[in-house]
Amino acid sequence: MSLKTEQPLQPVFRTNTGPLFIRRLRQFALECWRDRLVYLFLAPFMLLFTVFIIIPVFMAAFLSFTAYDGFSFPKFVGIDNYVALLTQDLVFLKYALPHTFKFAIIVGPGGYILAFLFAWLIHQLPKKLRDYYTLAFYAPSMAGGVALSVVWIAFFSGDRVGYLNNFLLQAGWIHEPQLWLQNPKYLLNVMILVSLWISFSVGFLALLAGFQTVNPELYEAGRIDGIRNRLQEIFYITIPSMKPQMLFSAVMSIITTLKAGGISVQLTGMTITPQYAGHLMINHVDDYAFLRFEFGYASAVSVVLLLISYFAMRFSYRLFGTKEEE
Amino acid sequence: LTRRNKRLLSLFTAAVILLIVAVRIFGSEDQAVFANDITPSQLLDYESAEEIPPYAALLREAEPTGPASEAISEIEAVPFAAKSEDVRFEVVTEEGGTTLHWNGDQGWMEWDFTIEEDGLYNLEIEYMPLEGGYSSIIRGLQIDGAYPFEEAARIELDRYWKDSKFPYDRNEIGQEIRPVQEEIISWRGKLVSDFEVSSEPLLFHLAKGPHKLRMIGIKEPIAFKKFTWKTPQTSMSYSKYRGAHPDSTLKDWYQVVEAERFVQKSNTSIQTASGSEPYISPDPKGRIMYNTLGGDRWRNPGEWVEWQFEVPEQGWYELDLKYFQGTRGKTLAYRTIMLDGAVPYREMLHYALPANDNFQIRPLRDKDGTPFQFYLSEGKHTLRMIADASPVQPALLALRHSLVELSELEKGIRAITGINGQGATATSLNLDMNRTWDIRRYDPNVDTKIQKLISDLQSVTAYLDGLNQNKTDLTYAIAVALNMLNKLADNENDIPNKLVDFSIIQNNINTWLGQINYQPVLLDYLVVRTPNTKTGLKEPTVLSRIPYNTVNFFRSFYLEYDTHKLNKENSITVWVQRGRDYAELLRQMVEQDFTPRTGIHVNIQLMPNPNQLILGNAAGNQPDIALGMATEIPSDYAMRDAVLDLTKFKDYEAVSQRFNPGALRSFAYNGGAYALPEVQNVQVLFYRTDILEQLNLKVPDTWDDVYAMLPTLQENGKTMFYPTKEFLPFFYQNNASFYTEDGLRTALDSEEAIAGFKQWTDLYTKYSLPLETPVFFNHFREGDMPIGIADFNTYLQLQVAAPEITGNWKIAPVPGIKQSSGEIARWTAQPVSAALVIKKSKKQEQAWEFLKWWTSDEVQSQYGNDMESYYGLEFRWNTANRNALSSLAWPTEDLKVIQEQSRWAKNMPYVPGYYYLAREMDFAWSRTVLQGIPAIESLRESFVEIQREMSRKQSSFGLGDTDNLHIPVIDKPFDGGIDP
Repeated sequence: MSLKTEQPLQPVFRTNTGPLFIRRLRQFALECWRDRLVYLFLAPFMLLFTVFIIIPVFMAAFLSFTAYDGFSFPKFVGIDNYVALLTQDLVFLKYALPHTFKFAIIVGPGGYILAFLFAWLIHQLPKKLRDYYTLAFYAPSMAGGVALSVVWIAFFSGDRVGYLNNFLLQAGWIHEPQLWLQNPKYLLNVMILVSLWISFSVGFLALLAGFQTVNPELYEAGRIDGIRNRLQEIFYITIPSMKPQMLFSAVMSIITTLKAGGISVQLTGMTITPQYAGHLMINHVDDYAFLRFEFGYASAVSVVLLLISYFAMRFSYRLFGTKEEE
Repeated sequence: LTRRNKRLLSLFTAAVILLIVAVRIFGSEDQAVFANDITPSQLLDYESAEEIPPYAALLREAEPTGPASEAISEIEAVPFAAKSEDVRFEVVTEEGGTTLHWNGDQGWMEWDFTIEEDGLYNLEIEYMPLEGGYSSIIRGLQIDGAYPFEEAARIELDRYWKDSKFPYDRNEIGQEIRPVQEEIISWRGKLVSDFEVSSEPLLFHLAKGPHKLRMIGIKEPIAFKKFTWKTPQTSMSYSKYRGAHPDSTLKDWYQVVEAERFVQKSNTSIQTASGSEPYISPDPKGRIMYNTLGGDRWRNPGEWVEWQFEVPEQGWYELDLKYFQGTRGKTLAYRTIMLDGAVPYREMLHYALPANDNFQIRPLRDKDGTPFQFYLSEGKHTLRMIADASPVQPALLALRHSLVELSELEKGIRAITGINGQGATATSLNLDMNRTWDIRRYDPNVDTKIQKLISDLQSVTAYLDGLNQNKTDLTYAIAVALNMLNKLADNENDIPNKLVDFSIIQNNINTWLGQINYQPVLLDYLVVRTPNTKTGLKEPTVLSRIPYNTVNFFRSFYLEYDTHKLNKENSITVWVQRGRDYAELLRQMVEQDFTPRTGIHVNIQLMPNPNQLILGNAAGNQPDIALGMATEIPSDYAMRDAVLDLTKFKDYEAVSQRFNPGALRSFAYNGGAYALPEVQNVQVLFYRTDILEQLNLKVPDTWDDVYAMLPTLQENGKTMFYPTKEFLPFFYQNNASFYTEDGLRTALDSEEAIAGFKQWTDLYTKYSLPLETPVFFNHFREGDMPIGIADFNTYLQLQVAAPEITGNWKIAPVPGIKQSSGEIARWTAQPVSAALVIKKSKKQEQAWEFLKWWTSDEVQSQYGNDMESYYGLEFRWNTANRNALSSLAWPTEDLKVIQEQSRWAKNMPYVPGYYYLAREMDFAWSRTVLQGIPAIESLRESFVEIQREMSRKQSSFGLGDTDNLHIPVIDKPFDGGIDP
């Protein structure tokens, strides 16, 4: 295949007539035809990508400019949804947005740093043990919802036999059981803690793989060049040489934190948490889409969420992106 | 680096070895043998505070007086000596003599009789069930004006049932359909027995002289012919049985008796089930085929099933069972086995089936593994297996007694310390954690009391473990309790601070106690065979499952699963949001009745997820009719113009008369009516007659009565249950409404609404009702919440799963508020499920025909009766059709209460933005109750929020200030056409 593309273009005489854009188009079609095999190979992915990613995203963007209740035909309302979101939606401005930011800022970078730290620590272990530890750290994110409901609900249970309550009562730090999962004061923090626990997912594995790609000779060279401790080693050698993995991991962690929302539902068992204490943007989308049947507005909220993720992603490209000269 | 590696590796290996050793050491505990050295008699060695002793305790004390030699005393049912006023009966003269038909379940009747000789007697009752409901007949039995023992208060007389056809019908894709259960009505004699307490018929101690026998009506009508006091027959031992018959040598022969081909059974709730695994008989071949019997549907003591088989020649036979009994850990399950109406020998009384984790074929055999043999004459025989819980009864009684002692202890501590609150927190308990106690100064015996409890519980554990030869869930629960008690015993001054532990122990043990009587066994078939015959029948193994499941997997590619009829010209599609059984029965009735009558074909499909309707709509895939929708769906969809307004049909007015207008209120929107109700849920007040009587309390009629009784309840460590988030009754009873009449504004700022909200939150802030009650049902059984408001499900649960308080509880209408007119307003909601027609449907006329047929009196009552016959009382179809409701088999008193409460049905109307009301009420409640914000302020905040959301929603629907949504006004109780 590659051989073929490197061949010089064959002169095509018949197409040398007509206006320029017709000729260009014909040229393009010919090139497509010539590389048809390449497109054939691309087709399965492109087809699925278009059907399941590109079209839905564009449809969401389109719906966000309409009022759509799931039954009647969408009605075009311009940017009304966005105006309402920014000027009238108190729940969004008072709860969903700040909660999402607080949640994302702690869980995103926090989880990222933890993943990096533990990946590095595990990397220090002998090869034989590494897999077991990796599995142990990766398991929670695989178990997901089940583990959440079994482990953490039992841990934070509001009666006195809940593990945390029981421990604190025994230790004499509290005098009566706390409703960890119902009390608006604690819920968000509990959600953050639990999310940190499950944040060791694909990003963590990528980092771990990244550590192994670093050329060990670089460390030797570095030591000769005057690196004095492990910290300097990480900073000057490890991080620069595993930027692609760091980028991937960062992107993954941004996406997972921003689209978190199921967690409050799983922990409390309620679609709307008490006094919106654990209301994240995804919950807000759910609220509008499936409780109020306002799909247009819900789409607007998710478009905003998409934009936020996009800018967060740009930011991480800025941090970890590989520049031309590297 | 390599040295460090090695060190780590060796450390790791050491840890692994340590772990293995630890597992070995702790694991070996399982193999311990449990000594069987506690006798039932030891367990029952306590002074019971109960007025009427339980049978087991009585039997223990009874002197083994040699019963009268073949003494028999017969009592004819007619004439009787006395009766109560309210008893409904008739004397019927038939060929066999005169009999007494006791129609209904009220009142009592009495007979005189004389006994010639002192002794223990069995009572045989000759009776015939009269047409009634699906539950067994229950009567209380008093001798000389008193119950001889506790269990005599509910003597169960079985109805006999069978499948109306076998083999079962199959539907169009070949799945079997359970047939209607048919009652076998005939005269029969029954020795009064109770398999909860004894595998043998109950013994009554009667002195020489005249006596009175009184029957008290509890459930179901019955006809009596004769009562006979008989000398008990003791069953012989196996060795004696063997000696009584000659030896035989028989040819190799065996017969398989399929469990599902029974001849008769005692309850409709005993049901066949469909299993799919290797060697199951018959093999379902990827379809639903009812090839097994029992399991969780044959577990209550006293429930029996009878089979018939034929043997070719006279001689000794053995019996194999292919059974599975593994859903309760290592607990044994018991069956008493009768051949031709009698227990052949003592070993067949409460025969123990050990737990297994697979279907196993095992002969009935003794402890050493030698199969038991039965001497059978040539020809037909019947075999009856009766679920039996009598071996665990002593443990049950002892545990109940321990629980009573535990609560006595708790009461004592409460009296000393003045802790009078309820709940789990120090504040709600009214407990000062920082106070130091010297408990022994106030109660010097506290130590011995706890030690006594500990030793009692230990002997129960030993008894149960000895019985099962294993640890079971119950004994683990007791072990946890013992651990807690030991901690309390070590530091008795800590008891006041750990008062909650008492209720935890009670809860733990009670949870398992409720299940101790269950004896589930799932049977595939029975094998009757001559000794030494090799049947070659196989049990499933892990290895045999692999090819079997592979075949099943490949079957799924060609088997037809879709019951779609090809879209015929004249057919409608119905989506049902209910279980498969409900849909299956509906399909049957449609085929038998609706289609022949109207010529309209119906496709019935299951809809597992309610969102399917809205998402299906977006995708253009929609039914004509949706059944089983939640109460708020019709108006919610109506706002979006997706549901058909039924008022456009001329006969809607007539059809709507079938229902309560208070329930229809939910389906109204903007002058239209968008659905018909199917089933309804009624809230009533449940109360324990025994406890209220004991505390000298009357059933509250108004909330003021409730407030007046609460102090007495709470002084006695009891409280009342109110479903926390149920705000509607207080608002409506205070004459408040949630919305203005045009449905555009919320009316929560009215004086009445504030009064209602305050009354609701006061229950928790002022009268300290429990904030969280996971299972009211259990507390009601235990008696620490002897009164409470709950819904219809609780009613069924109490009917089915709380036999020990049968006759000790009643229902009453929900307390209300006295109006200026002197009437007590008892408004509550009556959630209903909805049947609606989709607006886009092209067959609206046919769909309306279907709805009319479906909600009609006859169809609803037949559907309800069939449902109950298939699956038992707990599947009661509580139809919203008023006439059909009264035709179900209700106890007369309960029906009256339900009808009185139905008069006061007033459902919430649904207007744009309605969902915000419940959400904000929830928030307002937690602001006031949990955070102490004054009620007015809290409600005000919610008022603003709800109004904002409503206005927003209205503008999105294009509604303006001049619009009017016409919320139906209901200000008088509904009296239309109720005949009690």
